[in-house]
Amino acid sequence: MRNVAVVGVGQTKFGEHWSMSLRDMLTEAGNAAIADAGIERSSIESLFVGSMSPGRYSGQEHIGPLAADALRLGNIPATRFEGACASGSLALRTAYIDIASGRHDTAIVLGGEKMTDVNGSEAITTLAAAGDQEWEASIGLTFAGLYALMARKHMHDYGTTLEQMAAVSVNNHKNGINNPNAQFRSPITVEQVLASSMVADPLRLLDCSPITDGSAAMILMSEERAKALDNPVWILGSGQGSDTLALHDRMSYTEMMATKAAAKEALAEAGISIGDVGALEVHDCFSINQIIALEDLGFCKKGEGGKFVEDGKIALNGEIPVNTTGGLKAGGHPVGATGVRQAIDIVKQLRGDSVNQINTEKGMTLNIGGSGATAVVNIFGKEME
Amino acid sequence: MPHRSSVPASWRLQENRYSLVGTTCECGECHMPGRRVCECGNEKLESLEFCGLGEIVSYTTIHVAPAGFSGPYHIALIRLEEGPVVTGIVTGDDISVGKKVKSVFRRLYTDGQEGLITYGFKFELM
Repeated sequence: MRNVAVVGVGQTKFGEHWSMSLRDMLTEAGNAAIADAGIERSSIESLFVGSMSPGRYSGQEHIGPLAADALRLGNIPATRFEGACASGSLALRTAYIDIASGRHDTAIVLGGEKMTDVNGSEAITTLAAAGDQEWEASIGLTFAGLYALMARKHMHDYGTTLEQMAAVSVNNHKNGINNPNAQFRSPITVEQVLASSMVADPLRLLDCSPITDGSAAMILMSEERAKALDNPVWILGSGQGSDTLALHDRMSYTEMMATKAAAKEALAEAGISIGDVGALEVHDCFSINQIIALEDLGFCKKGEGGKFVEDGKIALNGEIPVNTTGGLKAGGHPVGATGVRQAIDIVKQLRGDSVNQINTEKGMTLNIGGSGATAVVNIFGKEME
Repeated sequence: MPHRSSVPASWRLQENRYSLVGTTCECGECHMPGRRVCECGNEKLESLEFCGLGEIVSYTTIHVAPAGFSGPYHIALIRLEEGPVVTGIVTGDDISVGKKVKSVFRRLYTDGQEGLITYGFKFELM
């Protein structure tokens, strides 16, 4: 396997883009990544795009060639990847394997979702399809509801409090203030979270990431080609894990085995331990998930994630800065774009051009699909392995 | 929502949803919802009707509901007496972790004025 570098990144602003279609957003993000890399379109040899449900959100399937066509990339192989909310990281991971294998030298990775062309309840129905349609969604269990079941269990088993979950959202909003691409750039308080409207008890509106339009893109390149370019960031490892589709079939409702499998694979490939990771992007689709992620990745013991957050360990100047630009909660969650956006923010930390710059050599993304049925971990570094 | 109210899809699942029928394996495992392969690898599984008694493992109250539903309503993870955990709507208000429930046959979903009515199991607090 060859070394692979990220040599260009780009994204749209995340938010409500009533004037832009999915095609427009993918093109804007892709153009930005190509410009950032300073390469010719004609040098791109393969395209990987992550999107959860363009068919239901936009009535459009087959968006691999749609993106290649819109970006004028000719007849290159162009494929869509779907792993619910982990679709973006899945596209990135597959592009990484494509370049590492020697098949191609330059690839473009895209992620995108156009969620606001349908009404709120239709968007919720579409998201719920990431769970088990026959046994969860069909009885009216929403996505927030699945995470609410995990939150209640975590509270019951470990004494995790509503205030600790709220502290996740507070930290993410604080980190989003400086991010011009974030959907929400306003600070919030624990009291505001606890007073926001109930979505799926115990999760309230400000525990939940929003419905968002947006796209993100990056250019990956083989070591041979990337050496000629400025400031490449290296992909050190990648892992992917799965678990039962339905939450009820799991061994635990407060622990994600898919995350553990993905992290184990990625860390082994990178040849590092979790303590070497200095910047972390985790999947805070709901506040409880950030707490569970910190535990599953090993930053704290099972059951202690709430306290870890409450004690400020995830702040920009904390033990492990998490979601340094606002995460999904403040940054926005255009489902298929999220994994690529997470990677962009880690790459920027490593290049030294983040809006909330911290000092680190290695960063990690954890992107989760469904209620934990898919997890993808990607690890990046300033230096090659 | 065609996927939710299609006649063939409802017909295929009626035994499972109406009578809480899953599967059981000679290794001793049982599954609800039913499966075609056991964790042990055996593909020759028998039908099993669950007794319908269980205990709440976790629960939520859905306030923001998907298309076709109106909140608030309770949904819980229920550990059936035979072992498997299922997801179900719980009727009644005094819900908490550890409470005993029993399954009841109820209407689950009505697809508008003229569409299919989907029936299945819910759980009642005991």
